[in-house]
Amino acid sequence: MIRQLRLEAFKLTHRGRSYIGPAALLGMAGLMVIGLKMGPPPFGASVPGMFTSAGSYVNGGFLAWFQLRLAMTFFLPLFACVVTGDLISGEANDGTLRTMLSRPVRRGRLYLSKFLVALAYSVALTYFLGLAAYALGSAFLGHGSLLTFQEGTLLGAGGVYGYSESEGLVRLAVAYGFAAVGVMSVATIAFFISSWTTSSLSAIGGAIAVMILFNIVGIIDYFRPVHPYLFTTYFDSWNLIFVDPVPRGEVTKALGVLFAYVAVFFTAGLVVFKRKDILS
Amino acid sequence: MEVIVEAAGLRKDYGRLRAVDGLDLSVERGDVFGFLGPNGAGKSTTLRAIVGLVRPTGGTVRVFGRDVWRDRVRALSKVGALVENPGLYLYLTARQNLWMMAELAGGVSPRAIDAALDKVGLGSRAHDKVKGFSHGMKQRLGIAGTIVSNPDLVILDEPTTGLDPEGMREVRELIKSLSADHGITVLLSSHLLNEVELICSKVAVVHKGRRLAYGAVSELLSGRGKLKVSVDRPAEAWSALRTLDIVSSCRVEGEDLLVETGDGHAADVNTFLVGQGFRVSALSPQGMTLEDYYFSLVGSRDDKTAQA
Repeated sequence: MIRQLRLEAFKLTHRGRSYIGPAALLGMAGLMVIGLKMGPPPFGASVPGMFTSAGSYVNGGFLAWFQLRLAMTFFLPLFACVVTGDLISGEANDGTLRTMLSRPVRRGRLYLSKFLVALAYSVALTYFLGLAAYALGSAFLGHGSLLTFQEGTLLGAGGVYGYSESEGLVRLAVAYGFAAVGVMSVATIAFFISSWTTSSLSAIGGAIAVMILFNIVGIIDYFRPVHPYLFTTYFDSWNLIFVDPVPRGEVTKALGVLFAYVAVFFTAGLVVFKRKDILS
Repeated sequence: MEVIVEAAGLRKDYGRLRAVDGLDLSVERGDVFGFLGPNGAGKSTTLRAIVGLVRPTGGTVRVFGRDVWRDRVRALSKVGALVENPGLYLYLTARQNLWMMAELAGGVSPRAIDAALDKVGLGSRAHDKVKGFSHGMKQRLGIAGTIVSNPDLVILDEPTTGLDPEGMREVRELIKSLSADHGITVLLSSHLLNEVELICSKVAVVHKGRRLAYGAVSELLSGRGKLKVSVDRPAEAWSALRTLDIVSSCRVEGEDLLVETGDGHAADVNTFLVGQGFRVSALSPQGMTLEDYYFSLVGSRDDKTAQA
């Protein structure tokens, strides 16, 4: 098992595809630094009246928070799926899956190793975004205490929350971990589709299509009864970490639903993968 | 002799298409076994079932006495297989590819990887990415992948496909040496009949998912010689000979007749023709090649199918 995990990690780190996401996210963070440096700060309307102006809240920490908000809507799930949706289908297409499975390896173990690599990549990509944003932001915009904003759509608890620099960093680290679980949920769907197709484009496109569909269903009032069961409903739940005190019940529920998606699609893919004929 | 690969009543359906239809096969230790058939005969599907890539619809496949689908790790622990074209990681080097294949079979020493590369003539390209390799080089790397982890059984699917004549000869020599020098059992599929005849000790001929013939090459071909008969009126002689019981096939080739009979019937054919008033000027036995034999099987099977 360790041997197979090592092989999967080796392949992942040697492929150009694995670096598309980090490069794009780094570019996004860079673009944002330029925008915030040159232009007015976002959420400006929320601030006047609540704070006396003692410098700008636009700093490295704020950029890390703001970037996650932007990237979670599309780019972070997309770039995770670009890799996880290709893990099996790409190898099926290249014929390397045939090479692997003509050897004395258990299919279940091979699948599990690939899945663990998929999860690790989702987490690494998410944290990479945070580190890139924080590092770039701190370098060009400075660092200091963290100011975050709540829309209050989920909880009805909107508002502005400010933290000291150290507490802000801890909360950011936890929030990124939370967001990574959201990324994992859609990445697992891509991985699941990848287990029965030879087209990585189908797997990536399929997972993203599901995400967009759920987003649409999520804003239509008629479908309100199913909203709690859509993973996309919890894609911005990581922001709950910045509410004080953290609403534990809501956090647990969100993580529960997201992990349930991961578990269900992992298991479904495993069943498919263990039984399927390798014809490519 | 120990049976290493045993297929019994192997059947594989893809939807409504029956790719393999009740195939029996047994490969014994030390065999160089040729699996012959035209494209689409079910060769690759059978090999895929033998290495557990596809699940049989019916029947069983055992390798080293273990059911491949249920106990694949133990069944395949001493097997090196290359099914269809070699699936390689183009973004990795030749050496990294071999390392990966070896790791999946339990891992080998770096020296064994270098030895396998040298054996297929890729030692000097070990650190080049496979992306830039020619088809023949990829094929050779794929073959290196089957022998890198020191197997007892090597399975090769059309191993010389895409190689130039020089490469084909090298691969044939390599296969012969696997068997002769290392005692490795080899199961290979091919539609190149001369290749199989040059390398293999045993063959199975498959067509449309069924086995048409099976056995040692020498046994299959013995007693199946042809007679080349030079006669004054070949067309008439052809019609006359066709009525004779001892003649299993007969055709006109130029000025001569090619007559297939069992062993020892040359004199009978001569007597018959002379008795019918033909002038026989020469009569020489021709050894049957595997190719003749193969077409006599596959060709006739096609005729019957066409009539049905």
